[in-house]
Amino acid sequence: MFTSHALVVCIPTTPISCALCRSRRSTGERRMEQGNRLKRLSNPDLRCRNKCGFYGNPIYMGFCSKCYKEQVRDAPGSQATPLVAAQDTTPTKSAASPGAFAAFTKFNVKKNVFATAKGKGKLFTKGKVTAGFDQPKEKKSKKSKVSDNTFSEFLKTLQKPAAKDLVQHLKFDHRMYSESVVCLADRFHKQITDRNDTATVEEQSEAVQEFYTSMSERLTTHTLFRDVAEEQQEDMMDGIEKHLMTNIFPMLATHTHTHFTSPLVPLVPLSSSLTRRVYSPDSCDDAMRDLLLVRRIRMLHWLEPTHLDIPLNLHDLQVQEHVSASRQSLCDMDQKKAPQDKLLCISRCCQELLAALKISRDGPASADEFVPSLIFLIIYTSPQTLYSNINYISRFSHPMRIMSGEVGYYFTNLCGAVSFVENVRAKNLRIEEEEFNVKMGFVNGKTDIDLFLMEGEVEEEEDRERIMVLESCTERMKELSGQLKHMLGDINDLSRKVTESTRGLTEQVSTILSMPPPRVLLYQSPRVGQEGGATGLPPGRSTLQAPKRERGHERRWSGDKRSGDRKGFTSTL
Amino acid sequence: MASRGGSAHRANGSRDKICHFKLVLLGESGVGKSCLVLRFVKGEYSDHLEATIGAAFLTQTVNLDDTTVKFEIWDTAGQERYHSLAPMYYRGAQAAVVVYDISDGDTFVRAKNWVKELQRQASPSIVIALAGNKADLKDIRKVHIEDAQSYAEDNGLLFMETSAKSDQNVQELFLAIANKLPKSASGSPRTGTLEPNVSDRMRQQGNGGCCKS
Repeated sequence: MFTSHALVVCIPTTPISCALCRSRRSTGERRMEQGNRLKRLSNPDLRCRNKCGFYGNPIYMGFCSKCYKEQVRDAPGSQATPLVAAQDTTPTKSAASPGAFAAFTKFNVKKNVFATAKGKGKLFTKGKVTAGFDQPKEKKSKKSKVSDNTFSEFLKTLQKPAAKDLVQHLKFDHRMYSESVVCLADRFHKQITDRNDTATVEEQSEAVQEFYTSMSERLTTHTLFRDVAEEQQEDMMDGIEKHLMTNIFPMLATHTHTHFTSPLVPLVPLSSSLTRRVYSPDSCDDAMRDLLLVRRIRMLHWLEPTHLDIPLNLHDLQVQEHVSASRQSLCDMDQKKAPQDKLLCISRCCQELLAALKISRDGPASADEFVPSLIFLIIYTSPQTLYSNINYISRFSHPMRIMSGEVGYYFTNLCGAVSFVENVRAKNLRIEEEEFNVKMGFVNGKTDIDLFLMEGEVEEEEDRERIMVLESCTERMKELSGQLKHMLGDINDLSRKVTESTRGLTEQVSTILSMPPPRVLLYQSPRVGQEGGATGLPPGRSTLQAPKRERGHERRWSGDKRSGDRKGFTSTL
Repeated sequence: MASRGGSAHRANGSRDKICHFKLVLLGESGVGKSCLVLRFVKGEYSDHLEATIGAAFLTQTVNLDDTTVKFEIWDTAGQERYHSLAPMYYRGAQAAVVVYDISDGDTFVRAKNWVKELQRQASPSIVIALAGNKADLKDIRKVHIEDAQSYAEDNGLLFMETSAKSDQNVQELFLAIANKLPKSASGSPRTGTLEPNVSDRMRQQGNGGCCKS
């Protein structure tokens, strides 16, 4: 990306070493390996001592991992020593005190075995809520079948005779622990199902933190655990925390970290739904911040190590190896669930970087070199969900972990580096403002954040217009529907009137029809014939007479109509 | 956890109570912060420190009469451009060592700014020590010891001129800090580093609130 030589990813070393233990090798081993790479390929002594054909590893006393496990199964007593000796990077912290705490020591050793053997962090990925509690009492531990669940391994070790005292502790602890976990898990379920999406991530975080506090209080104050050394209590808290977070992670993931489920979020243009999230204070805007960070890192593609005065000698093969291991660890963080596993990735990333710096500078690096290098590493690696990861850790990790200790220091550095990348300005890189703006593609001094917000504003403006149009349409629709209603009423009235008048007319017609046919006509016709035919008078005369009668008749008829008396009418006729 | 006991040097006599303290190193780059702390931790001034991967984070134990003080030393980037990140580091620290170079007047000005900032923003009970490093370069001295001394007195700081190269006053400086630190919180070690609203502040930090300024 930045420099061609730095892009070399040192994966091709795979075939020469036992793949499982690559990540934990010390610097010395690496260097030696580097020199002996070719020799080692042909050296039969470096194959597994069991002659199984696979390569052995000094950590496994020269066996390959599989044979070593078998070896360990055959001789349970001898397992711890060589491993601890080989662990130069993680010295065991528990003093090997006999009796009650032997199990804890073994737990530590076991943890180391896992950390060494698995390396890439299958430490605690398949935790089941019940597995840890129910199995150890019923089942005999089968060492050949290596469980991924370290915590349940820890519980299993407590079955051994040396840990008799502790089993009693454990029984109590188990009850207390499961109660608390179940209680908390229930609370989470309740929170999430009751309020559905409204349970904010802050509330969830608060609940988890409360649980940590109450749990560690119970551990420190309870009679059974009061005498347990602080470090062992911390180990227990570690186990509890890891177990809890691994189990509730899917729940959290669906609500706050949906994007964790997908391997890597493809860089998509910022959608309007994301833009809207900026303006909604309640929702979790991590995903948006992730995208912004990735966007900014993309804009910084022109950055060279010289801009930050980084003393990394990227031409050196060993340095390259360390840097790529460091980048790998940073990316591995996405696949971890428990906060401490994520922190372990950060820690590994930083240690690899420090190792690279040490080679480049020929001496241990201080923060003056380390911080710029970490910034460069982040830009160089461009992790997709770094922001979400940092927020996840600070929300759900035990606060002690991120405030103190080596891991806390590395985490602080990572936060600092991210905030530097987010806020980098021309003066930070010792270049001219104009040059910086051109390189970053800023127009009229507007930063990417401004542009992003402007995009949002433009969209909002458009939305507002659309809403206005919609509103006027609705208004018109309302008006029209009112009119329509009115018109329908009119129509009803009209049709009723029409029906009524029709009925009236029909009645009239039927009345008229039911009347005897007016004799007037029958009566008149002979007269007309008689008058006209007999007298031969001019028509005017006869017509003069006839109307008279007709008029009278008409008068009478109408009067009859008023009285409705048919008989009267007939009689007059 | 790799952090716990990662580089812990357990005191020989575990009968004493152990106090954990977070100490932050501040000062312009090039004044010899890391040399000073390496001298304190490893007891040698050398570029060939095989065992140490980095000098950015180190731990060292100091034995006092009745207590064992375990320092967790957090180095910070001294360059001006990383100045805005410093609050993340000194947050929750019980002690701070502000280092300047006696042969460079600018670094002393910078050190004074650090002290001002710490007094304003860090925990009120923080123990601040001012260290004039490179005391072996007396010939090209730019900062007079009297000036620094009076400044330290005015501001209630511990003050010493040190030399990582000639191992002058290095152990003494850290011993003085250890003596000045309150040991009341020693009953439950590590609680000293943790303040009640720590998680809130970390959350703020995670949200990028820290970098608005």
